[in-house]
Formats: sequence, structure tokens, C-alpha cells
Amino acid sequence: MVVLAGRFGSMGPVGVRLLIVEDDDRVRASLRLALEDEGYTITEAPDAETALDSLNRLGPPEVMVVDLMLGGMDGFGCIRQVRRTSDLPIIVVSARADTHDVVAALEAGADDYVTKPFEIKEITARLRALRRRAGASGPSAVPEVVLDAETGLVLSQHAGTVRRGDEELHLTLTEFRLLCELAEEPGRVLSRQALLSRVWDRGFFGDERIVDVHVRRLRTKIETDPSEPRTVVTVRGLGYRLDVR
Amino acid sequence: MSVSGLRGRVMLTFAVGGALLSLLMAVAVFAISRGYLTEQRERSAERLAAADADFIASRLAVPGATAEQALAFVDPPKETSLVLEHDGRWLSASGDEPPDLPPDSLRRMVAAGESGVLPVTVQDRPYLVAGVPMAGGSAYYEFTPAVELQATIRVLGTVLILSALAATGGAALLGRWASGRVLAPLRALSGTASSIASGNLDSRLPEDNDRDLSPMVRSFNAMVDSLQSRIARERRFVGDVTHELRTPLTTLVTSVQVMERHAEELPERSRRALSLVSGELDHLRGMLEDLLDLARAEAGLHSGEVEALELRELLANVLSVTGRPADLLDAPAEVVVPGRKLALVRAMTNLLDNADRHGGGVTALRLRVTGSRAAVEVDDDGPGVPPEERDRVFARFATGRGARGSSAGTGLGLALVAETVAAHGGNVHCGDSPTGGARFTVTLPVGEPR
Repeated sequence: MVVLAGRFGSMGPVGVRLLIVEDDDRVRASLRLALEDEGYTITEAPDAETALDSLNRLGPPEVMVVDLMLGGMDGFGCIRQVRRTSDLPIIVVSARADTHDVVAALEAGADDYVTKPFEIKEITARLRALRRRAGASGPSAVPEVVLDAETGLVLSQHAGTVRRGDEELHLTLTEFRLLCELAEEPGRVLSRQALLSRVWDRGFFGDERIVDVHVRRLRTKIETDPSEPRTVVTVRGLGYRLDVR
Repeated sequence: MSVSGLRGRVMLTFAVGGALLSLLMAVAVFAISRGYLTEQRERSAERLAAADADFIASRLAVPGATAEQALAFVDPPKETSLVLEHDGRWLSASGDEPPDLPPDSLRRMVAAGESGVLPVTVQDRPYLVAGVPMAGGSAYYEFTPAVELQATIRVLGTVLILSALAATGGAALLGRWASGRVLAPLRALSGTASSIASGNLDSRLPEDNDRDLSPMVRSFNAMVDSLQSRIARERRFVGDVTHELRTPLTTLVTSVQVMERHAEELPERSRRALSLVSGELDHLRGMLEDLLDLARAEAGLHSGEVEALELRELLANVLSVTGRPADLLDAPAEVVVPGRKLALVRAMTNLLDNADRHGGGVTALRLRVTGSRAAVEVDDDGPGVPPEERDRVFARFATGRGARGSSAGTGLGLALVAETVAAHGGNVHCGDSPTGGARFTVTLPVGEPR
């Protein structure tokens, strides 16, 4: 997958290819102006179909900004389609911040969300956080951690992969970083707040549902039985813990 | 079982009704039966006495017969005493002296030529005494024991009292059962209503074929239907307004930010105009967010879930995020309240902003716990709020405390505080701070989320 490069990508946005999927022409144009000022190289798509077509022709960009309300296929569908082939960071921009929409977008595969109208520095901060290298917050990333000896689940931070036996599991960048944070010190409980701050770079007022939905998504990929998680365990009232077995 | 509830009252009514009815029946049965039994017994005593009197009269008619001999011919049943008044003497079958003399009333009656029966008590035993007039001014009396009659009547009374008690208890049980049947639909109604109140708008009462109940069920369900569609309409409207207003605002905000980034390329006059646009845009944004939050709160649309929030940490974070000094906070202990984090943060921020805008700045932010309530007090340094204005400040666009201008708020901040706090089961009020400024106090129930 091309996107592996993203795990070791440069931190600065200069030249980073960003795809904006937004049906409102003016919002799209203004976003383009603002993000170009930040150094991103922008591709625009007015609807999901054009966006997917552009992905097919030009290959996936390094980041995507997707509006939820689109003509034709909606933002949720667009994200799901992209997620079939790509693990790039996706930020949702939505005029609706209802519980239902946010959770649905995250479950479809978005990494984070920003509510309209937003400050440009807010969206660039989100983009920066999502493009950070895996394990960047931990100085001594362990090269390889056996998460579950029984099923042969191995996390390899340097290679940027999670494998079960010979099979490589397709985690998104954010899921991968979430797993790395949890694997930093197996057995220790990390609060949702701590995870939100380390993975998403969000403060006290960040939305903890982002963590919950990502943990759910992560479990469906790495747990043998996601309803009875053995590796990423919920500690009620406290947060999450990674158990190595 | 308490009698305070409807069920208790119905049960009590049934029991009292049952008791009255069975008591009435028992008394009637008792009176009639006793009258009948006594009458029967008296008539038979009278007939026997009359027959014996005839016999004695026939004996006395034999020449030379004495009254003693005549009396001795009578063979009385066991325990029956015979008494004959003859020629001014009292004779009895058991000896010269009669066991007792008949009562005066009976003697007068017999002397007047009529026979009669009276109950008497001799040596603590009940008797019936029957008196029959005889020729020549004589009178004949028979004392018949009435113990059996009394015993029968007593047994009858006992049986009737027990039946009355059983009927009362039975009526109470019947009342309990009947009220249970009658109240079952009411219980279903209250269960459904509380389920709806807790947000489950799809709850309905099950259809009922009962002639008396189905109108209530239908109108209740119709009411919930219209409530649900009304709420859905409001939610849709809020959602639409949100989208329709936020989209152009996004373009505006983003474009103005691009212009600000390139402000040095603009002429001086354009820069000044840009800063005006930018300021008003912030104001507009704040107002839109407040309005939408208010509309959402009123439509019962809460963003975020209720979680256990530690207020001291929350207030400390509000201070740090809004760039205020941390030592404003006076919170001696941690206290956990159930709440929606972002909504409460916004309410607290609004209170602090209000103190800054209209009250000359926050002088203290205090957290207190009294019993099961946590109180957050925000004191300011301003002129205070006159008592007659204190309720009005929580109304929308109540801009009494400051002119519209660059520092003006949206006029919705305190309304939103009131709405948010109320949704958390608390309240907010405005009073005096010790330094003469205003003090806004928010109280919230303490505890873990349910």
C-alpha cells in the first residue's frame, strides 16, 4: 500500500497532498485558499463520486477533508469507500455536530471531526496531529511487541505493521497509533482523556467518543472476538488497557 | 397495607361495605331466628301447661280429691317444676313449697283470666314459666328449663358473627383484586408515560378492546404521536437551520482568516474595515452557537452523554482554557456531579464571560458542597444587579447590563446557563457578592450518573 509512506511522512504540511470533498463551492474555495496558505497541495472534489474517481486516477492523497452532506453518495459512504483501499487520515467537517452524525462518521472510518464554522488553525492542528508519526510521543518505541502469543498477534512499530501470523492486518494510521500508545506500557490503564491527548492532540474539552469509536474499530481488526476483547480491554470508569498474553 | 393509595381506598370501601352488609344480614337473621325459636318454645310450654291444667282440673273435680293429690297425678318432664295456686295456697310438685313464685306480671295476667308465658331466671338458670288460669280463681304454672334454647341462640349468634367477619375479609380481598384489575391500565399508563419522559418516544400503550379503556388509550397514544412528530419537526428544523447558517458562515470565517493572514498586503483603510468585519463575524458566530445551543436544549437535543464530572478539575480547566489565572478558583474538595461536559463547560464559561463583560471582572470562583448539592459561585466586581432585575437577566437578549458594542455578549449567554443548569436538575440565581458586585450561584445535584 502506498499509504505506508504516511507513517514516516514529514511533519510539515508543505507539499502534502490534501483532497477536499465538499459540495458547497464557496466553502470549498475558501478552504482551498486557507489550506494552500498553510502549504498543502490541494485537490478538490464537489462530490463523493469525483473524489473516488480522483483517488483511482491519482492515487490516494496524504490527507482528506470530507464534508458529510454531499449530493449523491454522502460523506459516510465516501469514507467507507476510501477505507476499503486506504488508511490515510480523514477529517470530517460537518455543520451538524449531533451525536448520531459524529459517531456514524467515525464508525465509517473517519479519524477526527471538526464542526463548521471552524478556525483554520483548528483544522490544521487536527491535520498535524493525525499525520504525526506512530509512537512519536514515546521516545523509546519498542521495535516489536507480541500482543497475543496464542493467535500470533505482533505489533511492529518500525515496520508500521500489525500481523497475525503471516497475515498483515490493515489498520488505519490512527488505529495504528492508538495501538502503539496502548502498547507503550502493557497492563497500564490509559484514560480516554490521555489517549485523546496523545493520539489526537486534543485537550480537556475534546470529544472522548472519538477514542471509544476508534477502540471499537481497532478491536474488530485485532481481536479474535471483538465482543469479548482480550487485547484491548475496557477498564470501567477509568479507560483502556492493553493486555499482552 | 396502607389505605392512602387508590387501591387501599377501594379495598377499604369494599371491606366496610362487606362488613356493613354482613352485619345487617347477621343481625336480621339473628333477630328473626331468635324470635321464631323463642316463640315456638313458648307456645309448646303454654300448650303443655294448658293440657296439664285441664288434667289437674279434671282431678280436682273428683269429689274428695285434694289439690296435692291432683298435682301428684301429673307426670312432669325432667327438671320441670309444677306450681298450683289453689284456695290461696301455693303448692308445688316437688314439695309443699314451690321452687319459686311466678313473676307478678304473669300472676296479674293469669288472675285476669288469660294464659301467658314469661322467661325468668331461677338460681341463675333460665326458665320459661307458663301460667294458665283455672276455675275458681286457681292458677296453674309450669317452670320449664330454657337452657337449650339459650345455647342454641348463642351458637347461632357465634356462627353469624364469624360469617360476618369472613364476609368482611372476603370483601376486602375482592376489593383488592378488583382494584388491582381496575388499576392495571393506570399502571401501564404511568409506566409508558415515564418511559416517554425518559426519552423513549416510541413507547405506546398497547391497544385495548375494553369499551371503557380504549378511548383513553387512543387519546393517550394520539397525544404521544403528536408530541413525537412535533419534537421530530423541531429537531429537523434545528438541524436544517444549523446547516443552512453554518455553511455560509464557514466560508465567511475561512475567507476572513485568509484575508487576515494577508493583512499586510492590504491598504490601511481596508485593514481597518477587515478588523470590523472580523469582530462582527466573531459576534455573529457566538450568537449563532448560543441560539442553536439554546434551541437544541429546548428541543431536548443534548450533545454528549451524561458522565461523572469532577467539578474542581472542570473549573480549573475552564479557567486555564479561557486564559484566566488559576488562583481565582477556591475549591476545597473534589466533587463529582453527573453531567454533560461540554454543556457545563460552556455554561461556566458564559458565567465568567458575563462577569467580565458586565461586572468588571471575576473576583472569585468558588465551589462548595452542602449536603447533596454542589454550588458554584461566580463573584464579580461590578455594580451588582438590582433585585428587580435578577430574574430578568436570565431572559434572552436581556441586555440591561451593558450597551451593545465591541465588548457586548450575545445576550443569550445567561439564558443558556439557565437552560443548561435546569437540564442538569440544578438551578441558577443571581444575588449579591460581599464586595457589592453580583454573585451568580449555580447549584447542581451531586452524585454518579444513573
